[in-house]
Amino acid sequence: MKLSRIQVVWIIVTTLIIAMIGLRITPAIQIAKQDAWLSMLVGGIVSIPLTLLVVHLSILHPNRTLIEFGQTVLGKWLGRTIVLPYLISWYILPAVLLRSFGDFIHLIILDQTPVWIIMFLLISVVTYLTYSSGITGIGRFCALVGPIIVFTLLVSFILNVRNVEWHHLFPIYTDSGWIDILKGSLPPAFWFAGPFILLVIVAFMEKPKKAISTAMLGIGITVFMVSAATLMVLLVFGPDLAAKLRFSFFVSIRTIDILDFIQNIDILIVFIWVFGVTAQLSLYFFIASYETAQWFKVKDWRKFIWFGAPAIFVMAIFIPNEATITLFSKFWTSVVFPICGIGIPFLLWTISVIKRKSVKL
Amino acid sequence: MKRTTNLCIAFLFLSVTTGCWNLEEPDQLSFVTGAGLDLTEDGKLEASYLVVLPASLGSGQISGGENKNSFQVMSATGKNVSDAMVNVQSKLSRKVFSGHRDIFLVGQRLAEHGMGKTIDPFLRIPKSEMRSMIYVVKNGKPKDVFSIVPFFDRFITTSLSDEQKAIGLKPYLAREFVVDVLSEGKQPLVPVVGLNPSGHYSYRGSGIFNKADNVKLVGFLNMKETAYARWITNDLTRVTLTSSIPKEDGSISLTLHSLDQNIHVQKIDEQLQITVQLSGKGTIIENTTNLDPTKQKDLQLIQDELNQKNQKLVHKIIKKVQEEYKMDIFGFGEQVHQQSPQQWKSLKQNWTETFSQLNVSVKVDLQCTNLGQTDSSIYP
Amino acid sequence: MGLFKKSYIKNKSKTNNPSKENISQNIDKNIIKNEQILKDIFQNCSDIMYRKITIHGQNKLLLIYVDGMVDVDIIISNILKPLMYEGLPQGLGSIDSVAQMCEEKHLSALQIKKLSDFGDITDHILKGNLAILADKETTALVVDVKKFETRSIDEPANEPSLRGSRESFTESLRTNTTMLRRIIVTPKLKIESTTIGNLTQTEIAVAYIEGTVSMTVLNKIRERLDRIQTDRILESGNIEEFIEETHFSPFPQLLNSERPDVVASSLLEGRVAILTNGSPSTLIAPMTFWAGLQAPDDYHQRFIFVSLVRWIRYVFTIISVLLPSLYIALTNFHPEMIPPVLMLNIAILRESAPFPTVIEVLMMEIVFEGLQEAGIRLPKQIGPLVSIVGALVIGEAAVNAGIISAPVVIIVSTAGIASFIIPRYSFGFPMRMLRFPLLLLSGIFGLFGIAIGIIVIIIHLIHLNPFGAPYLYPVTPFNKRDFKDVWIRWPRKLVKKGGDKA
Repeated sequence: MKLSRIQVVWIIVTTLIIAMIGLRITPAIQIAKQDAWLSMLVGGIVSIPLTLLVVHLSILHPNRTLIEFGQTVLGKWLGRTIVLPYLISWYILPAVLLRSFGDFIHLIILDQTPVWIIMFLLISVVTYLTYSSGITGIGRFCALVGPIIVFTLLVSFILNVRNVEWHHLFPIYTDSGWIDILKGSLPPAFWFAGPFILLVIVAFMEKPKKAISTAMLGIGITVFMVSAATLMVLLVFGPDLAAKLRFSFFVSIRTIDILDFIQNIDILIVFIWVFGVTAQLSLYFFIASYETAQWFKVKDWRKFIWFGAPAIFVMAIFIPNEATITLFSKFWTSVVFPICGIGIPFLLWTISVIKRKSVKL
Repeated sequence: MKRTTNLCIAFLFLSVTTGCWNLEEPDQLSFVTGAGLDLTEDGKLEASYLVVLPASLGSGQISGGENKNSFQVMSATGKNVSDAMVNVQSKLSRKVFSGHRDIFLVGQRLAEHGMGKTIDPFLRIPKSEMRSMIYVVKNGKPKDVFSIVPFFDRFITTSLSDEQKAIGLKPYLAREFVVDVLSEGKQPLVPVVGLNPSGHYSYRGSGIFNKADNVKLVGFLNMKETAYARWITNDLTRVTLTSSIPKEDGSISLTLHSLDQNIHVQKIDEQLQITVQLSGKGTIIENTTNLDPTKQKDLQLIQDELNQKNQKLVHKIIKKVQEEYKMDIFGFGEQVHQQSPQQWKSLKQNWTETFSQLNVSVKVDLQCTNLGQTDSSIYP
Repeated sequence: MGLFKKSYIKNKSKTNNPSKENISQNIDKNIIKNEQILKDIFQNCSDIMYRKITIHGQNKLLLIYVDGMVDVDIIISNILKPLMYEGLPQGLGSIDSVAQMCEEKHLSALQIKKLSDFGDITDHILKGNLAILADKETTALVVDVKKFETRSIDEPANEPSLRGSRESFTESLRTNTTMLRRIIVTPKLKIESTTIGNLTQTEIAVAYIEGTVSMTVLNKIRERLDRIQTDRILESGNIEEFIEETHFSPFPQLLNSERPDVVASSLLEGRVAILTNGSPSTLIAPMTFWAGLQAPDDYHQRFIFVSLVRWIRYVFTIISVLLPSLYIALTNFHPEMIPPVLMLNIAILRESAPFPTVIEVLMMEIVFEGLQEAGIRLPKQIGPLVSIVGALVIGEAAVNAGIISAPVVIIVSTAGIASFIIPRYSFGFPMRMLRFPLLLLSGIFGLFGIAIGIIVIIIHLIHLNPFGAPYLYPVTPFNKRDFKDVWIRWPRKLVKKGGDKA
């Protein structure tokens, strides 16, 4: 169960890029208008210190995941309690993701197929990937699928060049101002830093010392692609229309029309979406199962798959509607991330550093 | 592990037997290549569709050329767009499929009444086709246009979607219409077709909309005016200009290929000054004067004459729009927005008024780069 | 794995050749008794020959061999003649036994063994050796005088190539190893041999190049070969089944080839070859996905062309798996993706078709597979007939009669032909098989179903780790140097050291 650098880079890219492009572009455009792509870049910059904190914390405790080192830093019981929010969010997040993607597929292509069957298929695939080869498999899967996703997106940008209207971008900055740009950049920043997955993944790296550059590279690629996608959406639709489209990137693909032959290829984008979501779900699912096993001190983490898969599936089914997901997303950026992404890691990091220094002294 | 595989297989069989939910054979769909909206006299929305009849198309191919019944126009009324669509569906045994819709027509009555309430389904329905072109039907109903039997194509919609390109305009898509409606500094300018007495259609220029007032049609520009207006918005790819030259008792026609435009916003004494620069290079295609364009002096004369004539014409058109319709179809507002964004913040509330009093100067710069195969007129 | 273990234990319980157990006794001093024992062992074996001779007036000898498996000329000229006509050897000092005498002087044969166990002797006789028993002595001489009718070296029938060696392996293991030796002239080429199969006693040779071979792979192969307990190995396919990683995979986990140059190049790349006596097809392990898509002469042709052809192969591999299901997904779920005019034409043709598209495609796929199978099994003269009838009946008549719509025929035959582009025939099987589940998935869920199907296939391929080497290597896990070879066959001069492909 070791990951190479390339695999970690692609894990970061694959698991972030789809959700970012699918769900984050429109909200950013609604706030920052034609400067949303700047928001994305700023978000990327903001996410750097957040990522650094998390990765450095992991490097201080090489080859150990959050649940393990949490207990060494804070003691057995406090350590166990403080990681509870992580465990909970690692179960809820895939459920929300599963549901929103199921709804998306249901809306776009399979409007007569029950949502639960779409979700069932997805969760079965995810379980298969996680069970059969664990994090190694996820790493390999991402390293295979990630480049395909990035390549497809780049091709879609190129194909869409014909529809580009540069004037949509202007005037830069003046309309929104830095407050709006920053406001628009905060949610992406939290997502770029990743839902604390690095706290676990770094432990599996072959060379943990290179974790910082690896994470930076992964996030760099993601930020670039997401900014480019935002730019593309803005160039095609302009800020006014894009702000009204829920899946704006997706619709921007639909405008592609080459020689009256390549058209409506939005459904091909759904294709790579499925790839990306599978990777993302599998990663969260693996982390959830693995960390639960660590928490209960059970050696065989695969046992928790049989608990996790139905749990996530049932949770996803019982999410009542779209509004709940929006609420969750708000709750995530305003409460969960500041606590789990900044607060607790910072606490752990400070204590680890102090302990280390005192040992040296 | 084995149990799960069995479960999965069982599930697959279950789903096969319970039915293929979204599966629709092509012969269960009625392909729509064009859709139209209009208002009936009693104020109801009327949706009409051009529905393809594949069966008769197939037999037409074999028996040769006879494709009179290759399509059918269906229309029905309703309270709103979807209601009308549902009512059309009730007349068709196959599910309406709009994925290949090329054309969206708006009847003049609806356009004059205002189409603000009908735009929503454009965006909301995931399968709606954002690449289709939009036209306003002057003096007629969409269904009349759809009923035309075209010369070249199987359906009139194909002809309509090629029309703008043939004239030399960049196709105006429904998507751009929505963008224009949502934008702050530009009013929509929608191409117009009209029915001829002979039963065929012809392109009639374009219609000016007022998006502030329920996206109402407020007036028309004719073909020529449209060409210039589109030139100003940089949506023109090719145009032929003819100018008579009184001194020489003849006229010269110039086909322009590389057209360019530049709108410059200046502020002189708290007053906005807009300079429109139009430029183009082209080929002389007709010359009934005695001027010999191979001579530098004559060429200069021709170009100056053309520039001046067109300058006046453009100025007149802009003035007409400013005074008669007061709608900023040229996107001057957007230019102000981009070139002096700080000022735009205060200007955008009353832009319509500001626009009608704008100071616009026009500069036209045409160059005859290609003189054709002869020099002066063949028959002087 | 569980299944493997079970069969392994079961086999072990009933193992061991009964005849071998009964006869593992030593040679008696009395030659008449020995003869009787052998005659008992070879009861009802009409092809076993006995020849008794007396030399020097006193020593009785018994020669035993299988008729037809020995070189009679050699026996007469090199064994019988010296024994019968030449006197006692001179200058050798005292002679203890006839065996020693024969070994040192009389027999001009290369391989001679002294054996005293009946079991061993029987084995050797059956393999075409000549056994010489002498009276009053407890050791028998076994002389290698094998000679039997074998097929001569032919052109490889199943793996033709435009350029390169025209030789193909034969059924004889020795000939095959010779061919390898001739290509790779180094003592580092090791050929380990074992015998597997209690009844068939099939000789197996494991060939590898010391230093380049991956030891984990080699050890795994050795270990798995050791564990095989079976009565018969008739073909290398039997071995493949015993040593493959998982049985539940459509993908072959060992490559097989009947071309010495292919095997040699694999050896040079650090793979292991398993040669089986009696079968020209040699197993190569470990296999990767990409190896299945490489043709033998890829490294002999000009690199630009080969790189292009490789890409065409990748494209057609994808077509062969996906085309039928894509057709269903596009026409039945997402008609907006097909250009309007094309879609209309399809709709026109669909208008009169009696079956749903899914059923149409399924039917045609089954018919196509049937035709393909029929073509292989039929005598060569009738083979082309099947394809003509198939093309006429299925292609023309069915469409004209309005039973099948024309696009379906085009789609199915394109996919079928695409699967023939795959250079290794056995690697085309998974592509052909996977079409069917994908068809079902796309019939239920459209493109989403295909995406799910592809993901399951990818996960399976990622999970496959035959002999500890990842199946999708070098794409994932990624290796920069080897990855280059997957998408461009780079000119050898420009490949840095170590990346040399043979």
